[in-house]
Amino acid sequence: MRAFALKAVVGVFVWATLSACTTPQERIMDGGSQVELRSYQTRSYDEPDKIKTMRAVMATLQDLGFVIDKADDVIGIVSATKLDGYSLQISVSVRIKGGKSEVRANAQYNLTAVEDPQPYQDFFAALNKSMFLEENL
Amino acid sequence: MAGCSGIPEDAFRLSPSSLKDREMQTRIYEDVSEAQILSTSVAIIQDLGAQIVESESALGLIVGHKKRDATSPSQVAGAALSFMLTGIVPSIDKEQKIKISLVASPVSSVEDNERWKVRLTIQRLVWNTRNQLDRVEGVKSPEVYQAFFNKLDKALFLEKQL
Repeated sequence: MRAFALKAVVGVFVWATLSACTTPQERIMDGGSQVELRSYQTRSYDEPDKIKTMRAVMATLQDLGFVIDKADDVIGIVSATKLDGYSLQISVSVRIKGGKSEVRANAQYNLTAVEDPQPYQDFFAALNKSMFLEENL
Repeated sequence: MAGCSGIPEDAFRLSPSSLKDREMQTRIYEDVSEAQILSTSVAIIQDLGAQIVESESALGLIVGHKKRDATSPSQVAGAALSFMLTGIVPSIDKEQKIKISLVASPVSSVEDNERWKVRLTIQRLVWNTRNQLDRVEGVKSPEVYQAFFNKLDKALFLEKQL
């Protein structure tokens, strides 16, 4: 029994040493492949009005169950949180480039950055609808 | 595949109740300015004892927070019963932070600025008696939203008379 406990302790120690590639300090500057990630997180819309795009972003986030925490029309940023047994935070920035709105979203699920393409595809699918309505009404 | 972050698949999808939720959380106001709606809403959020933590008039946003007791008599009774039966004191709700966020936006076209859509969303974070964050949730009770909008209806009505 004692030998088993010793093995377990040694095992945990070896695992911790080998897997400790990232220290808590290093996590400040971590992140995946920036170019690829940026392409998932970004969409461009034929809408030259920043405020209209930002309002559509806010309405979409509310439909998806987020509560808007902050918004700034000068910098073009909306921050929101969804609480549903988990915590999901999102920041969406809107910039006008060549008469188009460039929308970038980045999300954090509990303690992890969301780096899968699918959640961003879902977000932009919802935003597309809202931008379409905005343009056609 | 959900991926390493473990984010629920439906986190960024419209839930089956999203239309109902939108209806419950939204009211339309006519013949008032956005500024009137926002300043009246600030007064109501203050009446509820919340602190205004964010406001952005260009986007029609007001955010208020408040911390309150979360003890519920039924939970206390349940905990007492459990202690008598098992000798273990279970943790119960102790404290809650309530986040109130209100967004006013023009209805449909930009020219039609006399009609405003006001959407209110509320969330709760609940800590238990062991000081652990026990529950995080969106508030989905129609009565809560109804009560807020009743106050806003009355206040805006009075505002229009002045």
